Amino acid sequence: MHMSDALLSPVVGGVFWGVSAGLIGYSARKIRQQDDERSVPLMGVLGAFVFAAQMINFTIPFTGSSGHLGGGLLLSIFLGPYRAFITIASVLTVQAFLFADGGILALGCNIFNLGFFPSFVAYPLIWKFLYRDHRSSIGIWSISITTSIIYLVFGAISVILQTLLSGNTDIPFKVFSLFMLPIHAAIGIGEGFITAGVYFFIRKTRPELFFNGTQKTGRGIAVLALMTLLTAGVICWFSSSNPDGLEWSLSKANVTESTSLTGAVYKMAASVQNQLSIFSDYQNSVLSRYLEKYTSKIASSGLGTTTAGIIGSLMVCFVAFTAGCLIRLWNSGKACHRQQ
Amino acid sequence: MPSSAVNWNGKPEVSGSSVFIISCIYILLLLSNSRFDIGGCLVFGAYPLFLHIRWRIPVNELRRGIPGILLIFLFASGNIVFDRNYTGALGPLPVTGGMVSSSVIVIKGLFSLWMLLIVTYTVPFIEICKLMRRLKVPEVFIMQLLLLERYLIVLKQEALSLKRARDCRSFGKKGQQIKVAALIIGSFFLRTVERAERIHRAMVSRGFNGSLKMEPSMPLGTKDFLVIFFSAGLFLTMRVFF
Repeated sequence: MHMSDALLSPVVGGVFWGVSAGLIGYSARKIRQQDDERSVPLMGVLGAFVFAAQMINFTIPFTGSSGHLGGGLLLSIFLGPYRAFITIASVLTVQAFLFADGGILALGCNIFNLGFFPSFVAYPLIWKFLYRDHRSSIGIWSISITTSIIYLVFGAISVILQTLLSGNTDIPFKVFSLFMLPIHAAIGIGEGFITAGVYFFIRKTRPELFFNGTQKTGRGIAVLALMTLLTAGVICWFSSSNPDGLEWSLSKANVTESTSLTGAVYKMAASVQNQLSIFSDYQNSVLSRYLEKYTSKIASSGLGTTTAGIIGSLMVCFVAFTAGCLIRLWNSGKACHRQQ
Repeated sequence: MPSSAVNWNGKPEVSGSSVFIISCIYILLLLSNSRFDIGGCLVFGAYPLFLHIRWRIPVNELRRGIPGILLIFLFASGNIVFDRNYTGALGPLPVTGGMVSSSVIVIKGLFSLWMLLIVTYTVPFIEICKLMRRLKVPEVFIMQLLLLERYLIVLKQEALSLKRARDCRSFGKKGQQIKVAALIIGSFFLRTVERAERIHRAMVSRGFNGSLKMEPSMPLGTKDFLVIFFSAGLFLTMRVFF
């Protein structure tokens, strides 16, 4: 699922660099707060373990092909979400800068797709939510498989959206999804099996190795996410097509877009933008307009308002989450400065 | 693989950090080309070609990029199928919009991968970590990267020997099922954890207190700044005028 630079536009790549950097900073801060220096070498060596364990392949029944461990869920189970995210991010960074696997601009997207979903979505919201110590073996197998499928499918959807938002491909969302999602769901089944197998082995031999941290936010976030998706995906069917209050009052006052955009300030700003803009694709490129263009493209490709609503909600979530992380980091930095 | 091919004729031409910064600018400007601008993208091939010859990088190094190229071809081929608008002709051959845009994806992919391969060959990983440290990347992430790089080869050899032992005991596909792989990976995991505990004890005995002492990276000199500005100016010229 490693994306390459060629599929991305600088805007999308840059945004996800920012998002991933924010998540790394947030996770690093959480790890520092836990103050467990023993985990530092463990994280480093487990990162190398994930690399190395990928060499031990296994045959996939009924297909004749072979698969290997991905490691996202396994790391989250043993290290907890923050350490797992940092470990996955480091594995992807080493893959990019030592083995040229992935790309420099695509690194942010790759960290997000392969690190965020197992560590901050699948592990706290599905594994921790469904996992109980007294669950039967079949229960653990099914939780492991479900969690793996969900994080891989989410990652694949994220790859599709990033590629479509970059605007380099003409493949419609539906076709892209039909190509990507079944493959990743199948990989998820294999990943779930192998993760559960390793889990049982460790539980028998060294059960104290499991991560025992508490996840306070899991249920609350799950409920909020569900409500957001319902609102964006279902309730938007009943939205009114009439103009909103501002549009209505502007139309009553005979103010149109063209009259409001011909002032001297507008002309000056437009000429400065044209002179500074070297990215011909992104002339008139306020990010919102750019996103709107591709979101509407996806919506008109037969997926309708529901998809556009869900995509829009997810984007707002990403932006709000990153902004929140940055503000918290900023505040904590100021607090440390005051204490000194 | 040599640790630094930037050391040309025994003397470093530019620091690894500046090569890394130049590569980032190069990739950003290359990818900002329009999706139908083949000429504008092709011009960018001159820079990695120049670096490749200048730093005498073996052609064999490019083989490492083959898996990445295959994936780019796969994604690019989609455009040929879905965009069949006639845009012109190349002799007797009709050219569609999809052909042009997929060629641009392939060119962008090849050149960005080429530049990345040059970075991986010429810039020592420790240089990238030091640059990250200067850019205020959290220390825990840098430590993670350094430890990962250090133990990668050791654990790869161990995994390879485990795999070889399993293959010796397997008959065809019997013995290579998921269940067996899970047990092997589980025991490999335990060995890894034990190794991490030993490493931690060794680190503590050498005065480790949660943070890794790292030699600061050499500050960028005048020569580095000149090279960065000259290269960035060159890329901007290529981007604007071609």
